[in-house]
This record gives sequence, C-alpha cells and structure tokens, in this order.
Amino acid sequence: MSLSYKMILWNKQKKVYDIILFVLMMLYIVLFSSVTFVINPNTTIETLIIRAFGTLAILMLHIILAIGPLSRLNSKFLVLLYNRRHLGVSMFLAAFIHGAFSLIQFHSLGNTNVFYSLFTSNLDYFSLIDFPFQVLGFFALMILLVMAVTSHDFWLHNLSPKMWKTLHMMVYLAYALVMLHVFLGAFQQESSPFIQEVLLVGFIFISALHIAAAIKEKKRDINSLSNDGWHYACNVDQIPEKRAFVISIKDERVAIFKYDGKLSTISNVCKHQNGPLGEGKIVDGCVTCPWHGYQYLPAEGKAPAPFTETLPTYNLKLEGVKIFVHEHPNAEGEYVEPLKWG
Amino acid sequence: MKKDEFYIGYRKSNSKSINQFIKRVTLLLGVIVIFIAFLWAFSQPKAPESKFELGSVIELQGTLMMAPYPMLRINHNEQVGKDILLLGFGKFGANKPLGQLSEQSLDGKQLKIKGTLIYYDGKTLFQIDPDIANSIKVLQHKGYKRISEDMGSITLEGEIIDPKCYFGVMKPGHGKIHRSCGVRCIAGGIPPVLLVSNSDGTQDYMLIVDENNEPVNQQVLEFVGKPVQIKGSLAQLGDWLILKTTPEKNIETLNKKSKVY
Ligand code: HEM
Ligand code: FES
Repeated sequence: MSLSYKMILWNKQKKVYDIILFVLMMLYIVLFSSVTFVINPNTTIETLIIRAFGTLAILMLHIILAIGPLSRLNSKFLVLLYNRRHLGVSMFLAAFIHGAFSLIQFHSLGNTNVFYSLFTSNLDYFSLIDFPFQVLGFFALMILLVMAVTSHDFWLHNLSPKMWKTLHMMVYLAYALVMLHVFLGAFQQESSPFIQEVLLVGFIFISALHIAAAIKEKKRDINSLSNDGWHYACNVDQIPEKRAFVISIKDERVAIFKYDGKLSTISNVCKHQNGPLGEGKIVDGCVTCPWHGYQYLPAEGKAPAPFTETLPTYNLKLEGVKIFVHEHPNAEGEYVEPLKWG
Repeated sequence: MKKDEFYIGYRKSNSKSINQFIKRVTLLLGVIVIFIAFLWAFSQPKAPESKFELGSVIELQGTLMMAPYPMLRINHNEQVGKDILLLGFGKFGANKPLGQLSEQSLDGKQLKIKGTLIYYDGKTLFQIDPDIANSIKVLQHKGYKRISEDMGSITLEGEIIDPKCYFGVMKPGHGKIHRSCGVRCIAGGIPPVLLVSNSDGTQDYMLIVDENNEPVNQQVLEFVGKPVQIKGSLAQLGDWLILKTTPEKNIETLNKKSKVY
C-alpha cells in the first residue's frame, strides 16, 4: 500500500463519510447561530462566530476521542475510524476559526503584536481564577495544527512510526489543554451550568471508554508463560476461520491467523498506522487491516506486490490441538511454512 | 450461522447491516448535534443593548476638551449639553489621532469630527474616523469652560473596564473573558473607567485619573477586568464622574466574582 499515499483514495465510502461530516457540522453552526439570534438578538457577530466554532470544535474532539476505544470494544465502529483523519482535520479547522477570530477580536489593532499581546496582556500565570486561559487554547491549537499537517500518509512514510505515534498521542495533551482553557476561561464568567455539565459528562464518558477498552486489552496482554521459548496461545478451535487470535509475548502482540486449514503468525501491528491486524480478517488470501485495509500475505509477512511493507513472522508448533508460538520473531518478511492442522 | 462481517473502507459495497449501522450512528450523532447546539446556544447569558454603529460614519461639531481624557462637548443651549468621550481607531485612545493632526494643542477649539457612535446606558462615545486628514476640521476658538464639582472622598467597589468595548464594541465587554482585550485597549490610550453596580440595579461610571488629574492608563493595567476596591475622591465634570486616586497605593484586588450587567 505504500504507493497509495501519493493519491489519496477518493472513493465512495470517503465521500459519504465527508458528506455526513459536513452536513452535521453545518447543522450545528446553523442551529447554534439561529437559536442565538432569536433568543439573544444583541449578540455581536464576532462573539457568535467565536462561540459557535469553539463549541463545535470541542464537541468534535470528544467524538474523535471516543472512536478509538469504541472500535476496540465493538468492531462495528471501525466504520468511523476508517476516515478519522478527515474528522480530525475538520475539527482543527473549526478550532482554527475560533482561535483566529479570538486573536483578532481580543488582540489585534492594538499597541503591540497580536502574539505578544496573547501572552502578556494577562500576566496572572500563578492565579487559578485569573489564569490567562487563552494561552492554553493557543497551545492546544498548535498541537492540533501539527497533527492536522502530519495526518497525511506522506508524513507517515517520512517520520518514523514511533515519532508519528507519539505525535498523535499528543491529542490527549491537546484535550487536557482545551478542557482547562474552557474551565479556567469562559466558565469563570459565563456561569451557565449546562456547558460545564455537558463537558463533565463528556469527560467521564471518554475516560470510561478508555478504561473499558484498556481492561479488554489488558486481559490479552498478560504475557504468556514460556517453556523453552515456546508460548502456549490457544487451541485450534478457538480461532474462527479467516480470523486471528492475539497473544502478548514479551510485550509484543502477535496475531495467529487460521485460514484454509493452515495457521500463520505475524506481528499484530500494522505498518500503516499501527492498526490491530489481529482484529482484521483474511480477505482474498491476505490479512486485511481493520483500520484502512492494508494487506499482508500471512505466511510471508509481506504486502502483496507492488506494495512493500513487511512484518516480522513467528514460528509455530502444534501439540494435539494446542498452538504454541516461539518468542523469537523472524526477520521482517521471512517466509514461514504455514502449519497444517486437522 | 451469523455471517462474519468485515468492513473494508475502500471497497465499493457494504453489507446491509453495515449500512444500517452507519445510518444509526449518523442519526444518533444528528440528535447529539441538535441537542448540544440548542442547549449551549440557550445557556449563553443575555448580551446587553449596547451599540456600536459599525459602518455608519457621521459628523459631530463641538468643543474639544483634552483633559483629563479627550471629549467633545456639544452644547444644545446654555445649560444643556453632552460630553462625548473620544476614541481612536482599534485599541487606541483619541490622543493618537488628535496628536497626528496638529503639533499645537487643540484644547478648547471648535471641531467638526467624522466618526462612529458608541452608546449605552446614557453614555455616548465616538470613534474618530481613521482617515484623520479628512475626518477632523478645526473651526474657530470658542471659550467654553467646564466646571468641576468636588464631591469628597469615597471608597468604591467595582471593575475597571475599557469603555470602548463595554459601551458597544464587544459583548461581553468586561470581566475575565474580555480582560486581555481591555488591557490592550487601556494600554493603547482608551480611558480606564470604573464601573460600579448599585444595589438598585443601576450603574455608575467614573473616569479614573491620578491626584494631578493626569491619565493613569499604565498604572491600572494589572487591575483591569477584576473586582477591585478603589479609595479616592470623586468629582463631577460635565456628564462624567471623575475618580481621583493613586493607583499604586489605593487600588486593591478583591477576591470576589465579578458581577456586571
Ligand atoms: C489561539 C487559540 C485560542 C484562543 C485565542 C481562544 C480564545 C477563547 C476565548 C476568548 C474564549 C471566550 C469566548 C467567549 O465566551 O466569548 C474561548 C472560549 C472557548 N474556547 Fe477557545 N481559544 C483558542 C483555542 C481553542 C481551541 C483549540 C479550542 C477547542 C478545540 C477552544 C475551545 C473553546 C471553547 C469550547 C470555549 C467556550 C465556549 C465559548 O465561549 O466559545 N478554544 N476561547
Ligand atoms: S493502520 Fe491503516 S491500514 Fe492498518
């Protein structure tokens, strides 16, 4: 799949996804604006834009953060994950409109530079109530900017996977900054209980999902015990046809696939964006990643030509119906004769 | 047996149940969007009736009074008139455009000024049009004298605001959200005003000066947009109350929530 980043795969799924995304975002902005103008006609247009896009961005951020754990808990949600980057970039755009309008409204046309003003117009950095909350929003926006810019697969191929992953884990830092931005800012003054309560519920919801998903994964991640380097994984009949069983060996997740009377084992971590291959399926003879559909030949740990990604393979042995995996990974793309059973 | 579903984004057709799932999720998200948009839009505090007539440039004629902060006195007759606080463009006071116009003091001169009105709660302010060369015409001198009436010493609690935003340009134009903008405006020469909320729901506004009737813009910056207590003495100057104080000594931040509007 390494050729694909040159031409983003525009297809029907993505179009449908983007249309739904666009319509929902417009629905929010239009509703928020009309309700505001009807019940609060003295509102200025700048304040309306700042609030409509700020609240839209934080709503979208919650949805983005929910998709990861939701799809680990229920694979149906993978539908939402497939095009998550468009959701991310759109959220950044909403946050950017909010931030840019705030910077212009509160800091431009003055006696100093806009950014200098952002950091120095309120110097109560040691106070909780008077904290310069706009600065927190600014740092969050910068993180979202870096993530939006590097979301393209081009960067995935030009940054190490670790680096890319770390970068994208920073979404949690951005989330923390945004929540503080809101709780130390708007709510100190605009003491409407609903915004606070909704965000509190949102925070609890996101945390609970992450904990639930972590518990589910933890069960699997208890490192299996070894006997001369061989780890017992499961019995053959525990793996559904064309699917995998995942075990954790020395903190590395490994996926054992069962297909056409054969067994093969590869690393669980997709080379694209670290997707969980063990939750994928064998389609047309290839292990297919559940996130964006990258494919690998199970016995070789190699993407089919013309693609070039490779994964480490693992050796297997059977004792009766019991499957054992050897803890030592083979080189990436090294062929291992599939184990026949039955 | 149940079919083993698997979603691949780049394949054209989805199974029925995946399509149904997409429909359900979209519907749920739609409901969430509608609910949150209503809830959050409804829960905003009411914006005030303050007015900035953006886009409408009018011409006023009156006598320029430079101290302590530039105002234009418009006399209707011998007794009745209005003192209009003058402001520059953006986050600047009127001293900047007036200084640009002439080296000599224009104090006490009759002027015709083009600009934009800002008004709320009985107070009127005027943003001088940024095209200075064409927006101010100096007429003949007219010796109007304002009388200042001393009202004695006083201790007040309130919030220091920038009047340009408060009286019309921004909503909210006070408090924590607006604070950094207020600091920018006052640093740029817009006169600092103490806003005092009375128990009967009315408000008083006082221009803050030092003991020598000089502007105190730089000295009050750290107090802008917070509840404060100020000790000083009060005087009436035309339409405006003037609060004389020594900011370094006699302004104190109060540990309270700001309650305005
Ligand atoms: C340069 C960056 C930013 C600046 C200068 C900024 C400034 C502000 C200001 C001045 C307010 C108060 C507005 C009002 O209530 O009238 C505000 C509120 C808010 N901000 Fe930001 N912000 C920034 C970034 C962000 C980001 C990245 C997010 C979320 C992704 C965000 C979300 C919000 C939310 C939810 C509110 C409360 C609702 C509202 O009043 O709009 N902000 N921000
Ligand atoms: S993570 Fe994107 S295809 Fe595997």
